[in-house]
Amino acid sequence: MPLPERRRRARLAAAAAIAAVATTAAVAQTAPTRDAAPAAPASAPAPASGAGPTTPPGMVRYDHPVVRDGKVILWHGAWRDKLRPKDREQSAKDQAPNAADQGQSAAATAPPKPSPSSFALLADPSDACATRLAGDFVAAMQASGASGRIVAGGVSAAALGAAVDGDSADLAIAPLDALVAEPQASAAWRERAPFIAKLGGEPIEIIAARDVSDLRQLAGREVGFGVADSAGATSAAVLFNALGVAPRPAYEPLADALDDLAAGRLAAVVATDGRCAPTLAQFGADKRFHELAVRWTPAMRSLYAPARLTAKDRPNLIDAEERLETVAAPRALIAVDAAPGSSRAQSAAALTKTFFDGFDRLLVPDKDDAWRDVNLAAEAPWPRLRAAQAWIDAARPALDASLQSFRAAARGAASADGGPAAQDSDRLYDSLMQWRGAGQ
Amino acid sequence: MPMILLKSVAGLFAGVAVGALGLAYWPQFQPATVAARPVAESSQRVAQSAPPALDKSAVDKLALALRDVQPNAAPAAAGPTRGLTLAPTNAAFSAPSDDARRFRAQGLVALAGGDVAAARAFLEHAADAGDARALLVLGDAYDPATLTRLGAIGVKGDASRARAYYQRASDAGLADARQRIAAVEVSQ
Repeated sequence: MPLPERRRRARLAAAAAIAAVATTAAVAQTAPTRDAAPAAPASAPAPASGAGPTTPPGMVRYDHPVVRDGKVILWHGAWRDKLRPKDREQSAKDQAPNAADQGQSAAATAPPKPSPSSFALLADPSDACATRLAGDFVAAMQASGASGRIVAGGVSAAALGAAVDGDSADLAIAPLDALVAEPQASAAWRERAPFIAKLGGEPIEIIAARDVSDLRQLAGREVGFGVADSAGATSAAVLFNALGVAPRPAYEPLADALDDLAAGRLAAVVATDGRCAPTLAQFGADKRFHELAVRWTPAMRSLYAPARLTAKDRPNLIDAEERLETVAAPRALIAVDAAPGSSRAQSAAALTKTFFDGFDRLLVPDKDDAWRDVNLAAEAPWPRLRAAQAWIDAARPALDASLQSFRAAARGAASADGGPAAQDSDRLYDSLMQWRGAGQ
Repeated sequence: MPMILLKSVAGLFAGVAVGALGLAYWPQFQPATVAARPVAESSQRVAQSAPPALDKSAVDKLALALRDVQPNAAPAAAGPTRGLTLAPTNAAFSAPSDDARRFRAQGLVALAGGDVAAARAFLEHAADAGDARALLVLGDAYDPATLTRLGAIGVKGDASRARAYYQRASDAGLADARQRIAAVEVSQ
């Protein structure tokens, strides 16, 4: 492992240890009665206002406790420069009790004006590509007048669910494969985490010793999946499930996993962010390892697209003049806790407008190339934020009948059992040609 | 008094924790650091330059060139491809395999849904597997005018690349390709 990486990890470990000690002390001070009355927080009514007499200005008080491992870890919400709309609504209600008595909600009479001035973007720190995209996003939004910050945290379905419940972020960059494949994600939950834009796919790379030539040889063997509950680990699990291969997952950072692979303690390592991971670029100079081909199959439809790597991408792991087939997992920009009609959906709408209006700021040389593959109007098997769809509908030309016919045919083919089949290809092709001909 | 002392100690610990965490994550989340890319990584994205010119008269050369859809990728004839079955060098474009047609169908579905990057990937695989019609659709997937009509927002087309794919489709015998070439040339 490179020395700087070890130093950085050592600093992280030290910081985490210190934080654990300090958090314990802080919790002991801020919630001294929680253990004595454990049932109280769950049933406690929401505070009347986020800026009550005991809450410092600018701090939003949660209307519910945040519990982890059976302990209340936060009682007040994150600092924000402005009250969130929900609290503004509540504040307006408090200030206009007569209107409420008359059956008119304060929100209806004085609709909140969501401000895109500040936001928190959740990104998985173990996903180097997502982190890079998050950095680009925050910089572009700042150039458009919205200040934001990156919040490091998990973005698997379970972790995103916690973010939705815990109000820890406004937006998130999450892997779509993990979200779509999550069986516990109900329709209502999906509506609370709608996507704003589908981002580009990243090739999934599986590195193994050269005596492993086929993915099926990994069945029952230990394979590095990435950090536990990370986006990469979830994607790895989804991929192997789609492939019908069941290795034993090992959860650790990519650099450690590569060390273990080199030492023979792992049979293979999965990297879902290899394009952005310098550790992988330096690995395998002794030519003892190579990348395994991942053949796209119809079982992967709607989750993965094919991708291709060459020796130019991985000179140490792919032989010269060889082309390696793999699959790419798409990511998406998600709005956190933005169910239709909610005040947070309005805040997300304002952020979406700022993002979409200034999207060209991301198509410049100092930003990640992946932005250039992003079609803001691309669909995904996931609910889209309504404001995002409305912006798209207003921005693009009206769809003529022949294009609608082509799209309907494509949707029909995609929804069939097994997805679009070989026999659909000519029908869809003819439909596309008809649309193209209509526009000549 | 002991309570005040305890609170002070807790506050001190919290301050140290915030500072330590900030120090630990500083290089990772500093925008300039995040945006910076090593030179070695720049080649890891698909190159955006135009494909090389083709010999228009020789279909068998075209079939060979089909394996080199990525302009900067190594020609398939010079090395193995793992994970994908390529068409024979002198593939009969009029009868693509089921695999090729399935890839084309997936590419068309992706294009209809606006996932242009995925559409291109599927169609390149179809073309690699010997499907000439995939070449024409690939041209559409790069044609800026077509992308605009499809309602794509953000993703940019590449007229020169679209023209190259249309040319390949034309050489493979698809008459519709000639109209496309003319339209692209007018727009350039």
